[in-house]
Amino acid sequence: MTERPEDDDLVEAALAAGRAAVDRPVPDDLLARVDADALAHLPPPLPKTAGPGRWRILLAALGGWPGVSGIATAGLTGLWLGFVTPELWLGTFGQVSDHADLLLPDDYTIASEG
Amino acid sequence: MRPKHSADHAAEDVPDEALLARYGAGEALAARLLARRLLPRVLAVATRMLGGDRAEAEDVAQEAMLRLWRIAPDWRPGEARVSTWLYRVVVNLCTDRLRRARSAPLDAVPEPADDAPGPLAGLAEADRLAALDAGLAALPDRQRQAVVLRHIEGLSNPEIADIMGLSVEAVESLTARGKRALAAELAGQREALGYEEG
Repeated sequence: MTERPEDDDLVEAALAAGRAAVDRPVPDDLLARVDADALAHLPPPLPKTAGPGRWRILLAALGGWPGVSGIATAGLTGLWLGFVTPELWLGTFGQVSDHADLLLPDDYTIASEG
Repeated sequence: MRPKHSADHAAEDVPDEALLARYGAGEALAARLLARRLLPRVLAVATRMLGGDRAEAEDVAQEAMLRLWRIAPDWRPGEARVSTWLYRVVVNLCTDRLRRARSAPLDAVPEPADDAPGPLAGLAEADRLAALDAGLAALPDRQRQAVVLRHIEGLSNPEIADIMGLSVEAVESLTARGKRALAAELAGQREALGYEEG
């Protein structure tokens, strides 16, 4: 097919007319029909949901379910350790006064004796 | 241009998808706004695809919008743009109508014409539009669709590929061939387009 510059002008002029026609107003009767269709097929309104409850607010404050699960895991782990090996924790924290010197630096002992 | 409803101004920045979701949730006003936003382009595309047959184009536009209302409650956000979905429906509806028209007796097929009065600036513009419609009507369906979506609607090739279910390369090829074929068709209508044989 042989292309000529004037053919490009023809196409551009025609396409420009097509683009201009996009802005033509939609006839009122078509708009009315489309509006009527929309009303006829209008889905029922969704039930109104109440605002977030206290539990949801608390949940959000704790970082959502990941935050709550982390807190619960830490708590259960502590309980389990306390239940299974109470002597370990008593030895470390409960009877700390019997071995107080183990926790003090050497120079502290010397200074207090001197 | 009719005066806009105050709600129209308020909704200008609301995306199509959000308005469709509001309609799907039972808000009638959202459909009113969406129709006024989308219908001009839907009608324009259908008119060009159907060789300027305004009555057929209005039927297609109404049917396309009806399908949008029906799908609204089941619309899946983020899956497709509303405009892309609508263009696809319009293209398919027009293709169906053109196929039916081709299988109908010849005298039942309307002449390509677009003589409805409008804000076009004078007869020359209306003649150019009529020549465009006649030229487009002579193109194969896919070429016509690609040319209208690219050069009249101004869509990108990837968008057109999505609408037509083709690769971007196929769209580029269709658009180029369609535009050349349109030029050849219009070359026989220089007078109608206001150009003298040089």
